[in-house]
Amino acid sequence: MGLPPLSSDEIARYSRHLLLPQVGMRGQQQLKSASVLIVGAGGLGSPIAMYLAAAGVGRIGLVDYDRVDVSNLQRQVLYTENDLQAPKAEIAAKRLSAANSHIRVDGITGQFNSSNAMEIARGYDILVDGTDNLPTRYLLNDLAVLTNRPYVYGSIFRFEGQVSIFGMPDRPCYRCLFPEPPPPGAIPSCASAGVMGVLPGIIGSIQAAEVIKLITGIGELLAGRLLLFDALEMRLDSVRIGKKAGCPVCGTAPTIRALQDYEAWCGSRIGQEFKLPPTPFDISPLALSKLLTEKMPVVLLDVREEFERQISTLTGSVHIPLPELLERIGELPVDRKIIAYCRNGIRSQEAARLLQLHGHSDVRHLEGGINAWAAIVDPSIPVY
Amino acid sequence: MATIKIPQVFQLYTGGSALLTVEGATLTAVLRDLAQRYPELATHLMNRTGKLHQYVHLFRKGEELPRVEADQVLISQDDDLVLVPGIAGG
Ligand SMILES: [Zn+2]
Repeated sequence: MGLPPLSSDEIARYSRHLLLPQVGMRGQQQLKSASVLIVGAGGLGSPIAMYLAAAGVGRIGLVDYDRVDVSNLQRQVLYTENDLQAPKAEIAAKRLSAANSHIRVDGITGQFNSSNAMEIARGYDILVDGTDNLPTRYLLNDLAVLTNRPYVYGSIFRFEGQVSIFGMPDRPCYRCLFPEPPPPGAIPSCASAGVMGVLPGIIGSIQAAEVIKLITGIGELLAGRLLLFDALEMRLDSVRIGKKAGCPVCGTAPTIRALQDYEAWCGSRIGQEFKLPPTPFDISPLALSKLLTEKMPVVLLDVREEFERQISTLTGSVHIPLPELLERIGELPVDRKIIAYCRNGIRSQEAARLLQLHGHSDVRHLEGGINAWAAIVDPSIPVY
Repeated sequence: MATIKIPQVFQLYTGGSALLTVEGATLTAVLRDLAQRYPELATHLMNRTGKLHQYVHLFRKGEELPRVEADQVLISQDDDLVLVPGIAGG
């Protein structure tokens, strides 16, 4: 099949690509005939989609189930204050179509999961990672390997990012690198750990560059290499990663021949922050509020870090960060009820468990943390 | 002494340190030294027998250190190791 010709409008528009000997007319035509599916239209998805649309990738699909939240605007540059609460995929598709009328953009609002991934991804040449969770990464990887398509991987945490290309012939896949997911909750998300706003801009732009190189067949691809970026040290490392003969999906005797249940595999649900199962230590914000109005003599123990106390605190609380709890346990009275709290109830549950293990019999922790308290009991406290 | 670059995810267990120095002439010795100094970190990096979990990797000069026979993997004083975890944000 021949490559589509460029109109004179397109030739003017893509002049700076056409001037590059490595891209030229043929490369720009390849871009025009290419189709790319971006899964996740958030921090990574924003720059990926904006640069690929500007570069003239002929068909771009964008999948996201989420709506625009005010906390997204710190890094998700596809959206504006006018878009709050609107579906991301819809807004993004409008914005990209407005940026480049020569391309086709499909915004798909909904979950991307094992039951619809094959169908949604049908017809796209390249799969690109804009997701914020592990289950969707394993899904994208397996889909890419099973259908012989490249998967352009990117992932971020706080100030650090990773980029690679998986699913290429004779090159490793995501499962070759990470055969097993970490235990649920071991690796926090941006929602719970924070992220430098410009970081996904850098990582997503590198992903977009790899997509353009893949389409035009130029340069050295990141397949078989993992790029590591650290914004604090401003350091870029590239390490070699190998294909594993025993890989269950791309190895010599694969056992994975169809898409799996990835949420079960990773022990986490997409779109939900990790929650610990209920324990006898839990106390709800309303129950705690009742205790406090009854003037019960309790110790409120804040186990968060110092910088978090500058955002919000409960009046009269004592402060021992979770990592220091065991060293400083002697500072807490043994004959009083202790109620630990943190941001969202994960660290405080661990604190309650540790305190009980070390001789405190009457221990509780605030379910959902100070953010739940702010939502249910005291709206004057900021949620973060 | 060799150094290990610690990613953000694990800095919670190193008191915020991004670069640790470790002693030992082999990978086994280095991991044992690390486990002694940072027991909390060790529980997140390795199993009870001192082997690294599948979701973390150690690289030196851009190449992964072997996971098997870690006692045969020689570490020199001026080695700079990089610890790489799986991360999930986006
Ligand atoms: Zn593989």
